[in-house]
Amino acid sequence: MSTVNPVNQEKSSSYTSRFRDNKLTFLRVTNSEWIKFRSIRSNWITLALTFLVIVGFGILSASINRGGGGGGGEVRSPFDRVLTGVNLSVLIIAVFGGVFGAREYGSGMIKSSFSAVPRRLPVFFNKIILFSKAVFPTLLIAVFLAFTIGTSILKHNGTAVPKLGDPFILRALLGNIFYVLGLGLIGLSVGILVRQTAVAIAITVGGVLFLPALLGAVLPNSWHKALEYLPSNAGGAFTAPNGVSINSLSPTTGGIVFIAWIIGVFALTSFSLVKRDV
Amino acid sequence: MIEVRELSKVYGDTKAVDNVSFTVKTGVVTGFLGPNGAGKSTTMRMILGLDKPTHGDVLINGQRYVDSRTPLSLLGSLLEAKSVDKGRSAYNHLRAVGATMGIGKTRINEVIEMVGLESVKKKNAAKFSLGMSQRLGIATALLGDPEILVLDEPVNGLDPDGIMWIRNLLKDLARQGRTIFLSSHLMSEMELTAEHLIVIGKGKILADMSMHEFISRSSQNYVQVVSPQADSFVSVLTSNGGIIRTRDKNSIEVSALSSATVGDLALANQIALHQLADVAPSLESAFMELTEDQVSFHGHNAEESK
Ligand SMILES: Nc1ncnc2c1ncn2[C@@H]1O[C@H](COP(=O)(O)OP(=O)(O)OP(=O)(O)O)[C@@H](O)[C@H]1O
Ligand SMILES: [Mg+2]
Repeated sequence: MSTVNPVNQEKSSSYTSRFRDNKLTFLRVTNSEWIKFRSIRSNWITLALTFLVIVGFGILSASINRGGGGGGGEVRSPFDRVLTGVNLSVLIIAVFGGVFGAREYGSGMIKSSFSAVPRRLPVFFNKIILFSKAVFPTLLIAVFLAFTIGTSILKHNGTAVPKLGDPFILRALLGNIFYVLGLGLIGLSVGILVRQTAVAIAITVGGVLFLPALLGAVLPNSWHKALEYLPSNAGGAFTAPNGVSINSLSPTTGGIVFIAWIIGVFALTSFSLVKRDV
Repeated sequence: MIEVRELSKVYGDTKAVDNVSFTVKTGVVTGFLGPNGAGKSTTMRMILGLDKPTHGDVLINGQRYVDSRTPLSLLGSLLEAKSVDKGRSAYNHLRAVGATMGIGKTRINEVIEMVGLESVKKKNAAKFSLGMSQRLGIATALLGDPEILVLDEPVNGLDPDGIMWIRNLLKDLARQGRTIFLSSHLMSEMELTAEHLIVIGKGKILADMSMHEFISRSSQNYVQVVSPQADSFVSVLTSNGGIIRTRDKNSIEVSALSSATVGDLALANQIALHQLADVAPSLESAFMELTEDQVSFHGHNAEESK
């Protein structure tokens, strides 16, 4: 723009901002997202609820079937019993992700955010990081508490229980945490992609969590192999406590397929975010 | 300086902005006028890179806004007062936006004070009135002490005190050497605030000139004459090409003749004049004249719609 410069120099009176040396950086966007996150009360309520559900249902489920008398007909493993709350937390976190992703579109805040960070992607990546930083520790503590307290209740009542040191148990616990977090991240990404909370929840909860089971019931057996590659089924391969996958994917393959889904959704959202009008 | 170059935006089959080029200069307040749906907000969103141009581009001080390493201090913007998360306080909203460039609490409190929201800064933005939301939007725009301001209808919803405050604020900011680009439908306000005008209609630029030139070009200019011999002077004026706009006893409004010609005609015909004055139209009437056929949405008054 050398041809423009002489004109600019003539305007020696043009104003220089006192924040001209304050650069926009990724870490500053991290800080901005953290301020956004912590100033919304419902975020904390959701995390607390997730924690209570996992720990509470773990204790409840371990206590109620005392002596093996009550409950339904099916026999659930001690591992499944202490992690009862995780099934519900999947729903909570998937919905949380959708709400978290679509939220700024609902309020119009997204215009402020993308005016401040015009490249947009740092906002998305920081939302991913922040969501993980908030949800992962919550799940980690809740799941291990549920496991520890739940198994000690069961043990106290004479049931043989798995220990943390047993083969596959630690992996299965972490696998469950990773699965819940992963679905939350898919929800977040879909929320930003579709921009509407209700649609994001419908896609994540309906499409990702329930549709595979539904398809499994209606489609012929020849399809079942393909269905195993859907996120929820792939997740089933690494969340079981006995090292045996519930389907024909190995835990490692299941994990890789699940991660591939997350990355795929992230890529789609990134592309749309950069290309579309706000 | 904002350079808009051959900018177009098509939404489906609506051509919202149609090959528009103009420059917003440093150090003056430039007003952006146009009827509803003319393409003002769309142009402003493209300046900020929020909407992608179908064609053309915009340079902000020589660079694209997306390439700026200091977006908030380069350009502050107010697009819609509703660009705020309703679950958050005004203070935390500004904190979050400012944090992207490391702008701290001191500046946050400074802009809150500037817009007069001290007493409600910890209040949930959901509880804000239209005017309060607008003030928060203006605070957000000012946050980075920006060199350029782009404001879409900033006086919308402000009380008279607020309108006067923002008028003086914008003039002061321009005098400091900042570039200010604002749209508004309040013509009387724009007339007092802006020095330069860009008028858009149906996506095309209709005028790009100084406020003074815009108004003086209008055919709505007329000469106000008061004469005790009004009857005979009217016939003198009409026979010399003057058009009588109104006549009320001794008072005549004549257009198509300059005040000098009117004075000379009076002298030549020995007509006494008690008053002779050039009257410029308001920005409002000059604007209406220019955009008459550009208005997409016409209202109808009660008589017409019967
Ligand atoms: N996101 C969008 N999708 C589709 N059409 C749009 C969109 N935004 C604007 N338009 C259309 O583009 C045209 C210009 O709209 P714009 O909002 O820029 O007008 P404006 O000059 O700001 O009007 P107003 O004075 O009413 O604010 C209108 O016909 C509008 O319907
Ligand atoms: Mg508009």
